[in-house]
Amino acid sequence: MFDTVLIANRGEIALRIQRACRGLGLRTVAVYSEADADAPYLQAADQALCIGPPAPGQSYLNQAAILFAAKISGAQAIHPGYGFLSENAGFAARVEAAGLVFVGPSAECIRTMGDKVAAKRAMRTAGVPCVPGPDQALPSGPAAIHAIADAIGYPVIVKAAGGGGGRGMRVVHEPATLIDALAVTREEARRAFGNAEVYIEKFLSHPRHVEIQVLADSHGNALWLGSRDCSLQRRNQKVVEEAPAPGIPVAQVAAVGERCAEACRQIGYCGVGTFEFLYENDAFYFIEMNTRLQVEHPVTEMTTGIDIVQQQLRVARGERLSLHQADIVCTGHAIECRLNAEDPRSFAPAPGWITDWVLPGGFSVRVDSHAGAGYRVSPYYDSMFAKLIVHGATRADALDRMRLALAEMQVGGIATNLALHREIMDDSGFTAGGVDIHHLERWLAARAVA
Amino acid sequence: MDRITIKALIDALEASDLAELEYSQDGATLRLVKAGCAIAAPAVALPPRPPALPDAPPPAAPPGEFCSPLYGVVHLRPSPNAPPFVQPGQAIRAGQSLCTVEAMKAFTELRAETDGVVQAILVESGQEVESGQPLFRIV
Repeated sequence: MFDTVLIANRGEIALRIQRACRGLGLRTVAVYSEADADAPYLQAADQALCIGPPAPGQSYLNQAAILFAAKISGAQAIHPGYGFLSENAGFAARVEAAGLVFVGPSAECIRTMGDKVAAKRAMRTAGVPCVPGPDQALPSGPAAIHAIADAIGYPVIVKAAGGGGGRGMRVVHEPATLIDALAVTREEARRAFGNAEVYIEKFLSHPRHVEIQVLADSHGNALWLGSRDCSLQRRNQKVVEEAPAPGIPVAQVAAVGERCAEACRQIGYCGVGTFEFLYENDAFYFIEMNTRLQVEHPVTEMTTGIDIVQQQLRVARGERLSLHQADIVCTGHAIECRLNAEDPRSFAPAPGWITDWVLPGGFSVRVDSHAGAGYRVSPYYDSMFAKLIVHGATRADALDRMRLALAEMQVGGIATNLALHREIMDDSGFTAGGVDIHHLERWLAARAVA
Repeated sequence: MDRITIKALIDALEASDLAELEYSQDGATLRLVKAGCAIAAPAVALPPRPPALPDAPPPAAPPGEFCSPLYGVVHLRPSPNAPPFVQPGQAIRAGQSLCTVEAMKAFTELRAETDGVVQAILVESGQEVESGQPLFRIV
């Protein structure tokens, strides 16, 4: 089995994967774009190879360059991290065809889950609760489409089958605008995802975003590792995540978690993954599966005590899971704040040199970051430069610890959203728990007026 | 240095009885070493960068210079196939779009503060620009 892993990503997750590899005694090959040539984590890798210019299309998305780097470095496995090529079925297939291990599910699983209609069909088959609406391609005649929307009940949402992550969708409140909305979404989907197929679902107006972490091996074993609540979002980007999702009965989470694990067994899923749900009026509705490691995986690590990235590498090596569902216990509560280089009020991006860097610490405080004093946050990539994660015996305990950690942390030289996180931790809605996915935007709008 | 060039160099080294080959192009240097010949340095080495200095607050721009308010990549056209926002010699009005600066997947549109004439465009499209770097000379 493989002993050298090429990490086809950058930033904090590249470092996180490197650490997991080191913990398992695996060699690491880092790849980087010219913009990241000075990144400190490259020094810690066993080997570092430049794969192209700063633009992601020419480096971190450059499949040929990455495969070539694997070949010349002797890496036998490629870990895609999140974003970039992590959910690209074509890339996974090329990695497999090159005789290498893709640290993730098979290309076929990625392809099925990447097609939101096919994914919904697979989930229904496994008994996972889905948003009301058909799991088949839409008929072509307007009358038949109207009949479907009428049966679901307005408002409905038109979504691109190739979309995901909040992109390529449109809410329709009345029958008169349905056909136009369908045509526009189809055209957008064709351009953005190269797939014009769209589908219709019931539009939920005030849901929470609750997700289930899963872990599966290649021997037919699958586990669910608990719930996360990621409802605090701005423009479909998660800002704060926590585990477990507050206020949802343990038995209800366990029932849906078991369905998710069963779905993994049915589709032959191997690796880590996340089933994303909308949660409204005490019910779960599946929206999509992320077939990769997620940004917010640390909150689940903190509550389960399981190193998810090490487990991901172990199952990719063909190992059998040594854990059993009965071993998985959710202890206490964990919260993660995503720290971005952006103005805390206007959200304007703020790349640049970090001049001051004071990290919080102490009991149950964790910072996952590749940055530090003297590091220059690049304008070419995502604005997230650190994740601050805390664990507490209870949610209130975790909130207190996060407030202290945020007060302790100082980042100078660039604008950051630290101040926003400090305000969020004192917001009565958030601290009460269980806010919907529109809460943060409403709160920001109210603050802008005040 | 593209992949095809690199592959061609590998093939050339393979076919020769050389132990190693070093090739420089556009400031990037590639050093290839045959297996078993020597301990290889990282296959692609970049020239060392000048030591990093923190971003100073943008100095007051000399009169007539229009500077970037942020660090990012400048675009002189609204989209690759569209005509440029402005041309040298063109008269512009306050509020008119001059360029966009891309940072972290977001595009910030920069607009003229006053009426004037674009005397010179000081950067190229796609170039990385510093916060406070002059982009246009406007008189």
